[in-house]
Amino acid sequence: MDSRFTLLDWCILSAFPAVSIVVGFLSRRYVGQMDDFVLAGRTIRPRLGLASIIASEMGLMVFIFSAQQGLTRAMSAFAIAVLSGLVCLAIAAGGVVAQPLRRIGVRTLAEFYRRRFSRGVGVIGGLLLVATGVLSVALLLKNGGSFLLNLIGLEEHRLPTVICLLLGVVVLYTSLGGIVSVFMKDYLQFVLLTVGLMLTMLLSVQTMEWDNIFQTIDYLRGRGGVNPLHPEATFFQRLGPETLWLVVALVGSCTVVQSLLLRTGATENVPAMRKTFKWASLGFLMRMLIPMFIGICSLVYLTQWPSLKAAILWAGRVEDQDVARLATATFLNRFLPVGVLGLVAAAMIGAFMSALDSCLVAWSAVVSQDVLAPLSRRRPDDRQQVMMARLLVPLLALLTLIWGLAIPRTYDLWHYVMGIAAVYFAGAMPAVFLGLYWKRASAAGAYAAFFVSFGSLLGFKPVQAALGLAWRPAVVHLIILAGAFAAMVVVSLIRPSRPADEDWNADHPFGLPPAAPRRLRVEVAPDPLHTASFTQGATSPPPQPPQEADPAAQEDQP
Amino acid sequence: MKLWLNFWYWAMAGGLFLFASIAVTVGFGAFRDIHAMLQKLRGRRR
Repeated sequence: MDSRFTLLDWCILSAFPAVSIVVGFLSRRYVGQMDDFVLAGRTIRPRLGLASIIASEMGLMVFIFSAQQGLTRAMSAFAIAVLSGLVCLAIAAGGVVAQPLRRIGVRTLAEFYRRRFSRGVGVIGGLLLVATGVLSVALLLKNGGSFLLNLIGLEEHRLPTVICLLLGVVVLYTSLGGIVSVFMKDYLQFVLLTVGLMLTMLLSVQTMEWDNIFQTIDYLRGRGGVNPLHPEATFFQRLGPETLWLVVALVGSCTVVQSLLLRTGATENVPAMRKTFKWASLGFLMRMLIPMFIGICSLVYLTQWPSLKAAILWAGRVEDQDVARLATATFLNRFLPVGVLGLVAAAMIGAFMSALDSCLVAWSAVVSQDVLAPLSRRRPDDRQQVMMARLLVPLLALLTLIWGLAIPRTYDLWHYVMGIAAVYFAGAMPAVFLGLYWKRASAAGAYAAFFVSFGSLLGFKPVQAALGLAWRPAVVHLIILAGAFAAMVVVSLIRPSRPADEDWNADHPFGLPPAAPRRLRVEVAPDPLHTASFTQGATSPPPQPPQEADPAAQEDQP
Repeated sequence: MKLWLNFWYWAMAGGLFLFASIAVTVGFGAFRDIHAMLQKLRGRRR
């Protein structure tokens, strides 16, 4: 395969992983406790949190999927991006899940299960989180690696080498600096992504012209390619279980995905978290919108050649993912000028790494503090847990690599990821939602939800083929999710239990301890220096200087 | 058809402008936030 990569592009491309390793070594000395390794000591301000969320959410998997949607469904696909942004905005504005979890102060979802329900629920929930995470992220390795090879213009046989190299870089900086290095790398990636993708879009519009793009889409895809409400538009053609399941999956991705909760949990306080999350909805919109537009541009660009036109249009009709992925990568390789190509390739490598790094931090934290520590006889202290987490990072990466190389690339990417996500969401969503918002939820109910969630495996085509079934996967996923909620409610009513954590306040909707007696500051004299404060109900209150109130505690008080 | 063409044109242009301005603000602000994060972490270590 001939490559348009020049020395300048290679320099830009290789600089990014090298800088990431340096960042890992530099941030190593800032990580001493588990809170530093997993949550950067809860020191993250809104703008850094937002940059990190945008960088990580615009991962390579989302980029490939969105570009493919743009190529096959043209502008109608924008409806999915708009839906994604609106769902995130609604959840952020409502303060659902992430806000109470930040207030409680748990590091991981498994820790929440352990404190809210029982040690066993924490272990099972943690294992479910890690197992489904490894299985879904593993698929990225081959698909993402293949996209990168096409983008750079390397031969296909180099795929295992490229995957191992990139995974090695991720393991190095993640195990050294934990989430601190991930935040710093995310910032670099955010700059590269925004600059690289903006330049790509501007160059595309300038070269192909806006009107020409629309006319070509109209000619190739018909009105269904422009109007998402048109009967020919493939997205809304099947408005029903598929669309409903997509909305449910978007809700799940904004509420129970551990890598996102690490970023919201790392913010310095609740107001900072809310601000970060609200603005992140724009990131959830743009993470799909920009790749979709690049997919559309690749459709317009590549159909100029009659030999390619038939293949691209055929791929669009049957939604062939290999051809769609190849088309976007080929477009970027052929179209972008020297320098910009290297910049975009570096951003794509960053997107590849960001899909892995925060997951590795989350999984290692869950396994060390929520699975191994509760099961060990002598509970390890904080430093030992950090050491365990650091050692677990390469181990979990190896598991991901083995599964990623074993699974055939021809497997339907979207179907596979949604199937694995369905198993996880069907277990985690009832446990988290009912655990937070229903005080009668019990450990036995959570076990029941986890058990029912495995029914989502029936949505997989190979499983259906083995059992001789032909059910629509979205219908299966929706039924199993509803069944898991119902099972948790019924079993909780039959087998009630108190929260495992003694400090857990079952009467508070978020389990927070009772609010401290309210302090009132009363001005008793015109002299500004003569200020007295007293505690309501106390007999002899000691005078105290006025203090800056904690905004999180303030919100909890009536 | 013309309506949808105009809608996507202005939606894309507006969205990109908004995203670009936020990206610039976040880009510069996040750099300062990294500095603050490292200072706080250094303080915690001591």
